[in-house]
Amino acid sequence: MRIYSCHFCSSPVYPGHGIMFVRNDAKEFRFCRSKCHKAFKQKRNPRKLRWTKAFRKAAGKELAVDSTLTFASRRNVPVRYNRDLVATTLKAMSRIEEIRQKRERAFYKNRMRGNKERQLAADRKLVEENQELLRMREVELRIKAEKEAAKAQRKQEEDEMDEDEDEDMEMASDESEAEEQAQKILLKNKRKTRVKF
Amino acid sequence: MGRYSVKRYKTKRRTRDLDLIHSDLSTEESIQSLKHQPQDETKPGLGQYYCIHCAKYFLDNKALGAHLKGKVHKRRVKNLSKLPYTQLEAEAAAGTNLNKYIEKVNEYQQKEPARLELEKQLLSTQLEENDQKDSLAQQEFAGEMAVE
Repeated sequence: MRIYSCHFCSSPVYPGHGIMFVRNDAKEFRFCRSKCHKAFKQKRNPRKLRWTKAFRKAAGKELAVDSTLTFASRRNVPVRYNRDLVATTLKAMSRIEEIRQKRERAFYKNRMRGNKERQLAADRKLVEENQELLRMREVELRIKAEKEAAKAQRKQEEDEMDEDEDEDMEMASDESEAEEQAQKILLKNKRKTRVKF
Repeated sequence: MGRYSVKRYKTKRRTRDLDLIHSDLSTEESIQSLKHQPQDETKPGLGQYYCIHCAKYFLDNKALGAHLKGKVHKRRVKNLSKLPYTQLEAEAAAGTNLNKYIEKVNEYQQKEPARLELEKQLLSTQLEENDQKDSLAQQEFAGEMAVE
């Protein structure tokens, strides 16, 4: 069983997974999933797509050149079984992996170094260039106060109106009689409609 | 075949990949042979007006000249100015055969300037050579007509 690596994103391709394209010069191109296959058919450059390993290595996002990475290679020559050799190889593999992880962590830390200061500087610049944004709260408060003042004024006016209405009530008694008559007519009409239906 | 016939790869319109074109441009012989191809009825312009970078045949020298000045061709030349992406790079990114890949990159960096020079020198005269060929062919044609 052989685990190939995807031509596009460099992820492992296990047996029964993905698809292979054989070009007319007999070169094989293995793809881990249809995403990679489609991108290949569109002639995309894996170095320019951020989700591929090739991009991450080429852009310096990951440890690319290191002595711990040079051990793994395809030799294509069988080696005669030797118990000692297997034992030492297994021991070396775990040790190398350990060292690689350590270096990768150090690389990541180094890459992220200074991010906090950079972010802080960027924030400072933003504040300096957009001073009006800082006074947003003041503006909000002012608008709120204005609204409340307007509301209070309206309420006062309404109270005054009520007082006026009390005075007008006597004057409007004739009008209310007229209204009652109109309502009676309406009710009558309603009854008529009920009968119809 | 069954359902596989439906899923079969469509390669009718498949164009030449960048790594193949890069190898086309890597030696003098291959450039010369592509510049002066034998006449072929099935190709546009009898296969006489070929742009190696874009792997494309043109009808006549004028069309080829216009293409060489165009945006598409320039973009292709720019894409070809870097080491073409191959399986070796994919494997190196995955963590195998890194040494081989580094060797290849070093070799490329060493040889690229000389190769670029050669390519420019050989292809700068393509249009003029084609013109000469055309005029020769016309003379021959006129000669034959006169004999008749």
